[in-house]
Amino acid sequence: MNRTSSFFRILCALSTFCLGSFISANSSIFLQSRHHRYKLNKPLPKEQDPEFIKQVNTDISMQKVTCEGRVAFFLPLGKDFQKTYGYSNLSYQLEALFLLPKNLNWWSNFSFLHTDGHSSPLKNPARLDIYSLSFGASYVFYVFNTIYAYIGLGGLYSWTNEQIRTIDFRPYVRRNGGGFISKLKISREIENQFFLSFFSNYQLLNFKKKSHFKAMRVNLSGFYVGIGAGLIF
Amino acid sequence: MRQWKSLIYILICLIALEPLEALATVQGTVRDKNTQAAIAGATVKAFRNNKLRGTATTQADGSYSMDLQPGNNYNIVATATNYQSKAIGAKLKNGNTKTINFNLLPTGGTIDGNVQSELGGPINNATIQVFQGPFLIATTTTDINGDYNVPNIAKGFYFIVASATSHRTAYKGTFVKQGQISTVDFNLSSTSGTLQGKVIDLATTDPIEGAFIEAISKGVVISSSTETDANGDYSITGLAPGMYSVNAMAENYEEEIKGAKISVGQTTTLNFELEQNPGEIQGTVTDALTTDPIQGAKIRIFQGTSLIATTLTDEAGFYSVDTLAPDSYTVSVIATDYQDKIEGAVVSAGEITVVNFALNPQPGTVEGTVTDKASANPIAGAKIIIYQGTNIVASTITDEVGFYSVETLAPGSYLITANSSGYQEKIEGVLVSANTTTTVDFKLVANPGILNGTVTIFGTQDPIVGAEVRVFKGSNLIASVLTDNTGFYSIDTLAPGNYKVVALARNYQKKVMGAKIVNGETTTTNFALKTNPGSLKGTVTDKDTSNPISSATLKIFKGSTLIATSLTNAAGFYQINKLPPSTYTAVASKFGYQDRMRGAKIKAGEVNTLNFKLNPNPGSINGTITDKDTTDPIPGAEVEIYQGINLIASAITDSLGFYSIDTLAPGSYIVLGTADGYQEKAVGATVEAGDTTTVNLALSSSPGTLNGTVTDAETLSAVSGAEIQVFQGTTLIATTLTNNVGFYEISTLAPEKYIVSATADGYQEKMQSITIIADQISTLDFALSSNPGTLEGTVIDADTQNPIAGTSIDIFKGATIIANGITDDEGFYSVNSLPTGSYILVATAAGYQQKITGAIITSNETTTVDFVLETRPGTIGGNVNDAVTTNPIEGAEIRIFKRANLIASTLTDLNGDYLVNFLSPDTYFELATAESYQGSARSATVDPNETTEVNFSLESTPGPGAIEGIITDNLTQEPLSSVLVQVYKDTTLIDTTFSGAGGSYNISLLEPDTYIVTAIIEDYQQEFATAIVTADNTTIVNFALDASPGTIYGKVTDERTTEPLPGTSIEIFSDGNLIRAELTDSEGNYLVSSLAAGDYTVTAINDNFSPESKTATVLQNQLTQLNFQLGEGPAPVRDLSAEIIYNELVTILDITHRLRWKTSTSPNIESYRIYRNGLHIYSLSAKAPLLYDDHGRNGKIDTYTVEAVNEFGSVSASKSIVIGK
Repeated sequence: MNRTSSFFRILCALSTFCLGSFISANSSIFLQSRHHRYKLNKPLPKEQDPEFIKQVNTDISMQKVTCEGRVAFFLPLGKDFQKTYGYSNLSYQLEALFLLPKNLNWWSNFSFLHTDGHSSPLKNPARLDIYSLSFGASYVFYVFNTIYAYIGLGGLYSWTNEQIRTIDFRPYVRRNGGGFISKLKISREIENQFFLSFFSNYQLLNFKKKSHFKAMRVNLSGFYVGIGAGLIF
Repeated sequence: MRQWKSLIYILICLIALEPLEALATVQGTVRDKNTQAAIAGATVKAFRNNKLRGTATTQADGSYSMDLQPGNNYNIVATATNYQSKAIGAKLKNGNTKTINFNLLPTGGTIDGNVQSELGGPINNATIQVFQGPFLIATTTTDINGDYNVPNIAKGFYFIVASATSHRTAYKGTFVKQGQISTVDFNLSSTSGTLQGKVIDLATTDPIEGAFIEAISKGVVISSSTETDANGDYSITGLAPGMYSVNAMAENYEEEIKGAKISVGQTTTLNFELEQNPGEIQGTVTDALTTDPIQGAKIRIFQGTSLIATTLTDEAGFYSVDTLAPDSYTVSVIATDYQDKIEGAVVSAGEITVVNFALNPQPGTVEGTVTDKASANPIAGAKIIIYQGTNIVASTITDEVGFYSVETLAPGSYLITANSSGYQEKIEGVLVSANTTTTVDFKLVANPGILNGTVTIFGTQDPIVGAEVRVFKGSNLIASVLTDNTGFYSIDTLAPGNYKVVALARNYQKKVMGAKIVNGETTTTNFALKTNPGSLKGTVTDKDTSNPISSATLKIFKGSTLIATSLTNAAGFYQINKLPPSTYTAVASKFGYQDRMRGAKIKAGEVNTLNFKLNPNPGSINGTITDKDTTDPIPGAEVEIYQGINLIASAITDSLGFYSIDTLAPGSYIVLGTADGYQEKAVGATVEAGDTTTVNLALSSSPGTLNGTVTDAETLSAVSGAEIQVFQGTTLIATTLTNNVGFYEISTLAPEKYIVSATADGYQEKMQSITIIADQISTLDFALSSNPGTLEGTVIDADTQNPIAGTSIDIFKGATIIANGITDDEGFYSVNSLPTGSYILVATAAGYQQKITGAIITSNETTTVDFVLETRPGTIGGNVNDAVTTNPIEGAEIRIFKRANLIASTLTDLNGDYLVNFLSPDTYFELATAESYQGSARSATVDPNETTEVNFSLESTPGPGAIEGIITDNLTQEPLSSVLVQVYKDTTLIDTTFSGAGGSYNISLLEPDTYIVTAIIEDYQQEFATAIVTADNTTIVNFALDASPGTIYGKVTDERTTEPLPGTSIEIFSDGNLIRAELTDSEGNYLVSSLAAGDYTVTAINDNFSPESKTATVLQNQLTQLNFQLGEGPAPVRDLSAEIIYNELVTILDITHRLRWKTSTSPNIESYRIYRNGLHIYSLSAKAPLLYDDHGRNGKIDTYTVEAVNEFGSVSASKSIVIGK
């Protein structure tokens, strides 16, 4: 399990780093290339002008609303979460993106996670459901061809429903709290109506709830790494 | 004779001497020989010579007394009920008192004894029953000392049963002999245990008096409100054996809970050490001067020299420290800029001690220097005075370097004055803060000098009156003054120094001069001012449009010399300054406009206004006039140019239809072209300055005319005021109205096809089409039909005034129905679109008489016709007969009510028939009465024109009822005779009888009512029944009596050792149902009485032994013996332990109590039972690991009990443990 955990955490960090580097690198390369062309060549016909093509592509993407279904691994950072439910859990998400002017987007996301585990130290069966709603804004970069990158930041509110499942003691405990989420996504449009995406999110969700004898700190922070597919309207 | 005389004398003497002999007294007591108890009411009789000489009766103390004639041979006899009589001989002497006491021997024996509790002490009110064989002979109860006495018991063997609350019943046998006392004592073993202990203060170990102790078993408070005494001791007796949670509560102390196991006959000691409720110190910290709260003040609580708690005050200056043990404390407060303060506080348990602080602020210091404002040299010896309000707070003198300092000033606002000779006094305000030094420096101004002088006109030296003289120090205005009539000014408050003096006067140029003011001296500065030049300003606009003209050129000439030039701005404005006062020529010019010249007079210091309105250069309009249809030019056509309604110019077209008009000012015009045979045409045109605007006109040929008349289609009369509208397609072309003879005419219609509509008030609209031909008159007449009218109204009931729904309104024109209406729920009807005219209306409704009326319908109006319908009457009839014989009843009275009002009444005839006519349709209440019959009531609904039949069958007036039945033995079903049967009404005995040979009984002449019937006979249990007696009826009440109960008793012993087993539970089952349960006493004996005759299963259960069951047949009034010998039960579990486990998930902290134990040493253990606080919560298989996790015990203290159960169901002794928090 520890190996798996390390692998996913490294994978997550690498993917987040690579995505950022890729976007910034491509942006700078593209800009350098464009300036290079302008310096060496005469003005191109408008249909061949990369600035014009970029503007057209960006405009196309900026005129739409997208709905996306996602599946992702949730890689928790909280020790209690890892001890109880392991180092990775499958999550399902629905995300809607509303495109605004100036390369800005307003997104909203609903996420659902269900997992089974065992309490510690008694190893009683346990079950956890997490429902999350998040909202925020993101900035879209045109990379090349029909590939776009999104960097976003937003707020998050989660409802948890956890149950310890012994033979004669099976109470449900409901808790909720808010946090923040940062998002990184690369998407590729296919025929202007469909797109595929690879994304990595980091959520900071760490809130305190009173319990007997001591305050329970609920730590649901972690990474989401996954893929998605969606429609463009 | 003398002998007779002597004899008579002697006799007289004897007779005289007889009364002198005194009586003797017999007295004494009569007592029970055995008990020496006084016998009241015993009779004591005195006999002498077999004759009764006296009688006495003993008092309550057994004493008696009687007076007797002295003599020998007295026999004194004492007799008393239930005692053997006793006689004692006595000799009584004259005047003597003889004491004779009797100790009588009872005729029967006595049983007495004492009943003690095994726990110690006598048992009051214990029940003692004496049986001889199966028969109960006597019953009594013990007194407060536990003693009992049963006297007058016949000789024989008796069985004595003693029973008391919370104790096991015991019985013993004894022989009773005549006159003897058989003492039978009992020492009853308790069926309960005792809980006792002491409650003390944890801190002081002092006993706590008045602490409340509650014993709780299985969630139920078994004993409460037990209070500890002055020594803190408590005791709860009579507790059933088992596990208890015991709460100790005392005022000002925290509650403590402990577990306790109560065993039969044993005393369990449970001591409590209570911790006192904490107290609290709270208060506020305020500023002693302002009373404002001080936030952030540090509060420290000391107990002795130990710091106990620290807190800070909130924004309201409030602090609170709780959970303080009752004691004396020292409270200190430290606040920034305030002096520290300490207070003592005594905290009591559960109480709040208020300690408020009013802190004095730390003092502040004011210091500074006093210098000469002009030279900045220090001023020594200056006097500094500090005021707070009007009070002098402090004062000091500056030293040689001008420095002063004043310390220990309370924070606040002050005024400070600085004074020194040769200087003006200066006052400064200062805000002194705590623990800070505030610097206030003074720069004193030396006493002032004087500045004066005159302001005159340059060149003439004439004084300028009202000129303003301003004095500046640098850029700061120091003073200003106006010159008087002589042009003189003076300022006498100037401090020594150099100043800038400015003289200003209207229409004169200002002048600036320097002046040096010397302390106390006068400096003179005179001004000679030059006059101001003038200015010229104005606007240049378009004369026609009044729009401003920008960039127009303004030139100013003096003669032919150009003096100045300017351009207008975007608003057409110009201004030329610095023109010497004179007369000038101004010329305004702009391309596209004609130049304009005006004279201008410039006055000194004034701005003169000169506006210009420029005429634009002219333009022209030309074009051609053509036929619109043929496009041929129209020569000789007239063209007129209008500006607004003003004709500006006109022209005639030449042979080519061309025209041209010049010299038109720029602007907007209307060009109107007219020609014979054509319609005139006008268009707009804009003429630009210097440009030619072309306007071509295509004229249409002249229109045709439409006329006609509008008449009423029915009366053929003319319709005046009808509106005629002419449409081309959907476009309205023209509109007109008909005149008083219905005529209309429209003469400007282009030759086209039109749709013409005619409308008029009260008529329906009509439309026709027509084609108009140029210069011809087309006629189109209209015959209009008038609008229809509406008929409406309501239909109501003549009696109730209620609306009648569903009424049909038929409308006839002659004999023909032309329309029909139906009324709604409100009785309303409405018929629309009725042609004008007269109609016959017929209203028809079910149950009502038909009604006919006439109505006249007017065009476009609503005619209202209401109907009031009369209902059709109905009849009620029927027959009255005897309900049993069905014979008709003659003369029965029938009364008919409508609501509470009597409407009609009648009597039945020979055949019992009756009939009531003329009843309006409604629902009635009908009452039939007849002599010797009970009245009867019915409701009847009368329909119009209908006869409603209502028959009555009357019941005759009822007589008394009776109760009868048979009484039998419930077991044998044999009838029981001589059973006493009693009938009660409430608690009053009504009647009594006995059952006969067949067990039957009968009680008659009972008023109809509900009764209680009881059957009583010896050897049977009394039974009750409820009987409802009705008139003329006999109610059957049978009794099946149960025989009087029997008793089961016996002994339970250990099968191996034959030792008795006290505390064994004896459970009695009947048909599988547990009906009774008892525990064996210390001798292993038990007794269960009051059992109905029958078969029972009796089970003996002992925790340490295997249970055993037996069957027994109980007979009435008999004892049945049933002994048990029990085998051993399983051994209890070993090493029971418990621990608290913090079982964690992501959002859940589950505190679990884990129990572990080792198995019972007994074989064949099948399971373990686990109890929490007396409640069974789980049974664990013996094959499973011997641990149990009790989850969700967050914050709880629990007492757990574990028992082992073997395959026979025997349960071991329990093991308990307490864990929690």
